[in-house]
Amino acid sequence: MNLISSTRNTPLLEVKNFSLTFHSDRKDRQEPLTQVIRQFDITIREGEIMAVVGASGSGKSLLADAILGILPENATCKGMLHYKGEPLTEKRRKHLCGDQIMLIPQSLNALDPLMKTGKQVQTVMKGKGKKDGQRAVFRKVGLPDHVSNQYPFELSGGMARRVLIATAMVSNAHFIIADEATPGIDPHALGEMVTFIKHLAMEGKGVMFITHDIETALQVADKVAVFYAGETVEIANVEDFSGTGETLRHPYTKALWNSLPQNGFVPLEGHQPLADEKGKGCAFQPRCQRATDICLQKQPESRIVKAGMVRCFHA
Amino acid sequence: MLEVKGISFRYRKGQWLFKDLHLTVKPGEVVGLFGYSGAGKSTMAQIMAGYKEPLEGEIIVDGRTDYDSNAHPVQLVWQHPEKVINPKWRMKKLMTEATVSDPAFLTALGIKEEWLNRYPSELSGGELQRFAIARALASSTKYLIADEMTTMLDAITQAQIWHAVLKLAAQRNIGILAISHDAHLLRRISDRTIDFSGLTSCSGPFD
Repeated sequence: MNLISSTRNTPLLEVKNFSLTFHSDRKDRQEPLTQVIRQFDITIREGEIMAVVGASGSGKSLLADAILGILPENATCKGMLHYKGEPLTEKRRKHLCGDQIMLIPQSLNALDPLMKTGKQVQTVMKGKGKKDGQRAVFRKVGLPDHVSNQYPFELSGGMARRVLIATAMVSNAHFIIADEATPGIDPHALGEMVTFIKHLAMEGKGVMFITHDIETALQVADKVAVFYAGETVEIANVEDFSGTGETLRHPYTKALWNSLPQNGFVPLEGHQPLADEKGKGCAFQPRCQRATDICLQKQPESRIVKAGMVRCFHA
Repeated sequence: MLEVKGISFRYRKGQWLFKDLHLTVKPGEVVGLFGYSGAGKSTMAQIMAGYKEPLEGEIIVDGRTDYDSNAHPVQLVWQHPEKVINPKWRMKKLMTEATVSDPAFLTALGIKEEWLNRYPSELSGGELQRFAIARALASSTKYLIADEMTTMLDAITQAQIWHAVLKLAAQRNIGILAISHDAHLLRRISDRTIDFSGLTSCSGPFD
């Protein structure tokens, strides 16, 4: 095996049995500890786009914060979190985040309101010819030259999103986390965003694409990790999402697929449990038609089924 | 009938966002509206619900324009409930202020009794949006404008909320204007769908 293929086999990001717990000192809380992510597993390789899909409140954004090391102080992480085969320690994060690891944020407020957009994009570039590089990337994402001299408040929402994407494109980053980077934009603008993100992967970057929008996830990603109540319940291939979801492995994923307006628009009853409402069994069990005694008593381990991962006793 | 009669709007002395815009929603009807980002759909929604005054034209609700002293018969639900709900109020207080008290009504919207004691930060986006909708569907409401109401929510929560809202609206003969970029959603919930750029002689995109 030559050197290139061996580094290719080392995943960019490898997370195993990861958990995240908040401790609260509020007196009206019965439980001082709240586990918001548990048993989380994910592997992302170079050139791969992994979508992380789940309901709001499922812990998706916390996962991004955990990787970037920007969690609040009352959070504790456990489990394995490796970047390029080595633990992502506080010290390594200082070098890597903002350089090799970049975030495309959900909020447009992430742009510096007092800096012209061209200059902002240049700050993440290295070496000579920054101005030319920045102009070239603006053309690539469809921003006219004069936008370089504008401030964020002068841009529409769609243009600001392009500036954020352009920043990721010219950066040195090997691994990019896009956190809800595409909500509420019209279909034309969405199609462009999808193209730009795919472009990042074609350059060999790994992308973690966090979204609640399964349709966009399927347009962008190679694989889809489905998050429910702080756990990965399934990692599916994009092709598995078809028909009435027969090839999907987890009952929650099937329900999600069949609730889309273009599919059944079926409203599965019940709600995702809050962190302090979870019992000792499977978190989805109260809403599951296939639940049996074992689902009440034990948390299902992850298993490989049909070239994907699932956490369900009945898959 | 909810009638938008020839309204025009622009911000300060800028370009007209739209001019001479016409639109009607009948009681009990669900109208789906789509259009480019930045075309002025949300500004129109705010004018219809009385948050802004049009520079020209008027909004007529069931033949009247004088509804100032009471709760507005046209209620607007926005995309981000966390931005319109007081973070320091428990849900119970929020419901009392909007004179919503019928437990059956809350159950129909999928609101659990124990959520009433929570603060907004202790609820998910989908749970909060149900409270925002409960407020908007107070007994005086005749028309509902849903401006990207479920855009931030996962598909299951979206289906749950729309099933509940459509049922309540049908029972009370409430007219709905649903604004969304999701063509599949509009096709699923609407009696008819319209393109925003066809409503007016001048509109965006100014992207």
